[in-house]
Amino acid sequence: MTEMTDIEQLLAREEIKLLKARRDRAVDTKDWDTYLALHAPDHVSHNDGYARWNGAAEMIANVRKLLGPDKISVHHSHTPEITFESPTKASGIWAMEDNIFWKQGDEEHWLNGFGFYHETYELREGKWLFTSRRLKRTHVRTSPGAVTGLSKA
Amino acid sequence: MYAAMNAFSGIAKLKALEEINLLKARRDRAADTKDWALYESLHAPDHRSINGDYPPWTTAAEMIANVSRIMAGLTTLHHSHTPEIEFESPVKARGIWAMKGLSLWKQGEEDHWFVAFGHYFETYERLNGAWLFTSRELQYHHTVRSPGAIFPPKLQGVDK
Repeated sequence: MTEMTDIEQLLAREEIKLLKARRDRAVDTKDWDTYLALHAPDHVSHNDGYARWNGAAEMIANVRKLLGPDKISVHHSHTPEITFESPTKASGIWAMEDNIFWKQGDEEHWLNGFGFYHETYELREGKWLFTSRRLKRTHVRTSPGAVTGLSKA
Repeated sequence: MYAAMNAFSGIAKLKALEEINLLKARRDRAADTKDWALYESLHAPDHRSINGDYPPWTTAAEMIANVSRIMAGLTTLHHSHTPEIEFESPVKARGIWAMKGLSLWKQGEEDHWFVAFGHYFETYERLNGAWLFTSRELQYHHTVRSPGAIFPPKLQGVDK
């Protein structure tokens, strides 16, 4: 940590916030190329209700399937707690809310979730990237009759 | 300009980022408290607004005339999140913000609502020492409304 000045840390904080903003917009616009580019190849994802995904490629394959063209998603992230372990390693906790909308036949359905993202970031070749993301849910509510594929285990 | 961008680093960039965040916060609050004097003061006179519900507005005065009429009968909430701000020069920037909007109103005795999720695409310029909005485009991602809702409000008697 001795290597990082206050200004360098403030600038790195802004880069990480930008990374997060791009990730939330990429997922909701289904821009999977951008999404993949924001993650380290060895990124580990672990979302409540799903198995752990090892590697950015595995994550993208799953996220594309879960949020296919039939789903509209909205991910909003708030009030980051970003701490630096070193000039090239940081972790962050973000409050989150998501809304997912889809149809089952002619019926409109939705999911509204709340929780916290626990993430890690690394500066690699001059760019901050996600290296892990763990979504810990505090609450999920769904429309009556919604089929979400979320495991209750 | 390249030399200017190189000089624009560190503290100067952080300060400009905070000023643009503040500008955005004031705009959202001015809209929801219907403080139209404050709202107008945050925009350059030649500000352009593009919002899918209405034709484009090409000056701040035209925007205020329309927005104040449209929102007179609405209780509104504008929440903006996770900015992506990029600087073209030390006095010019672009921003993208995730947004949630909620409008509440009555049609006769009936309560109605409209919820929108989307992104604001904006430009900013530093004019006479202050950052101002120079354009704003709202792109909806998804909207939901109460059954029977009439939205957006009709713009009767407002000059285009």
